[in-house]
Amino acid sequence: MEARAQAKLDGDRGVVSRETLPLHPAKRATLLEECRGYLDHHCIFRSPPGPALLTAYAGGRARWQLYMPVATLDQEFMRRIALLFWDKHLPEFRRQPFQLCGIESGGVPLACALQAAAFAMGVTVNAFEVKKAAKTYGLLNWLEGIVHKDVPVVLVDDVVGAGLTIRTHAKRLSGFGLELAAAWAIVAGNPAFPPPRKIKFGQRESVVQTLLGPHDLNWTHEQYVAKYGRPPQFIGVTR
Amino acid sequence: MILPYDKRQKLWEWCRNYIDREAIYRVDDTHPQLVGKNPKGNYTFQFYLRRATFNPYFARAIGLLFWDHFHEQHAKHPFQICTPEPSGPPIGAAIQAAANVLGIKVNVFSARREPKSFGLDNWFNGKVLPDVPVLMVEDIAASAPFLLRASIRVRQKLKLPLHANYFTIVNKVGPYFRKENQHTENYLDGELVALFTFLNFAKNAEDFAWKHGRKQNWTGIVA
Repeated sequence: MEARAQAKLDGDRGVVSRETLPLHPAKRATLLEECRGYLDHHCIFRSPPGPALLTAYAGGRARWQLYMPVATLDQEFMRRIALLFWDKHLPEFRRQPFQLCGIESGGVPLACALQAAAFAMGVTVNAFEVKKAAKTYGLLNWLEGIVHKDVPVVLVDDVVGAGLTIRTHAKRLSGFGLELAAAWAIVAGNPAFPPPRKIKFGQRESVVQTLLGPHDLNWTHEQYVAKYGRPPQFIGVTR
Repeated sequence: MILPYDKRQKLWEWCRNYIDREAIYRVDDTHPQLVGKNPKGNYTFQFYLRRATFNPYFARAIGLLFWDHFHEQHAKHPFQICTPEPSGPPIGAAIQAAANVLGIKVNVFSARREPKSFGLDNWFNGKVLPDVPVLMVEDIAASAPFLLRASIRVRQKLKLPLHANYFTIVNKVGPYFRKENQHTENYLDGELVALFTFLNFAKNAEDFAWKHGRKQNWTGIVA
């Protein structure tokens, strides 16, 4: 282990990734299916038949809830997501460098993992965070990290529901004088709102890009059992 | 230890210098007083460590310095990592990214400051490994007891044992701080492993100017 570790640490940049981009289409499809499967099998808490067990966001009860941190804090899931992200966005980055902005709290581990994967491939990408609310002391800041005024921003979050959160933060960043290049999320997660999620960058209208859409996942216990013939196994922490 | 002495020192010094230049706000004649947590009080300095942990080189260095210290222990007695939100997750990501480089598998989960208000009303995010000790990781050990509260919840709600250590980038300890507010002096029962103390940095704007030969001037916009 020591010799192997040492070999990998040689050089300040520590360029270590053995992954080669662009991905072969078959490899890309495999990675995408592995990520989809991980989310579908492990990251959705589904109430079994009977009374709904979950508290709904808007009050009342809910039958399912997607827990993206189960995936975004998973080492192997995020390695795959980073490959899929950079497979698409590295050519764009080389044409026009951008910085990543993770939306608190789901977008933060995502932005960090994308940044780290780029660094391992020899690409330096700046990242920062936009907070849910401004800090109530100190500099009363909305942003955490070093923010470069003249570098376009790609806003990232783990999941986009109806799109309100990502639109609010896009508007906020524009208000700080930042140019928004794109908005990206792993999954469009609310089947009640089919894509595309439209978003405005200043005067320009765009859509939130996602790897997976709401119809890629089986949201309810019944849908899951019908598809896979077995009950789901949520692996996230429930306390 | 997996880093040779000179490499470790180089990474440590690079990180120390980066924090000193970019991640501590110090009040002077051009930098106004900071609003304190108590609205009646003001701060003369404040750490903004996410200005460092969102830097890719800093993140890599911190990840390597972490594993330099803990890799041997982890190989013998695997542990998982809990990072209190909001400032812990970037460090958890840095540790995980360095683990990828070193071929180490490590589980990371995060502790919320308050339970989620919907869904499972959960205090933690991610997944936990049963019976595997939890190493708490945070950016700074300061007077606010977030690390302590999160570690108590790990024991009480998850029924998981704590690792013998805590890890932070900075331990806010030194002659400028009251001892009763210092983690290492009172309520953490594990040993705190910190890469830096406040003594490693310029204590105020005047000290910074003397050490660096210029006034402090952060890069990037502050908003």
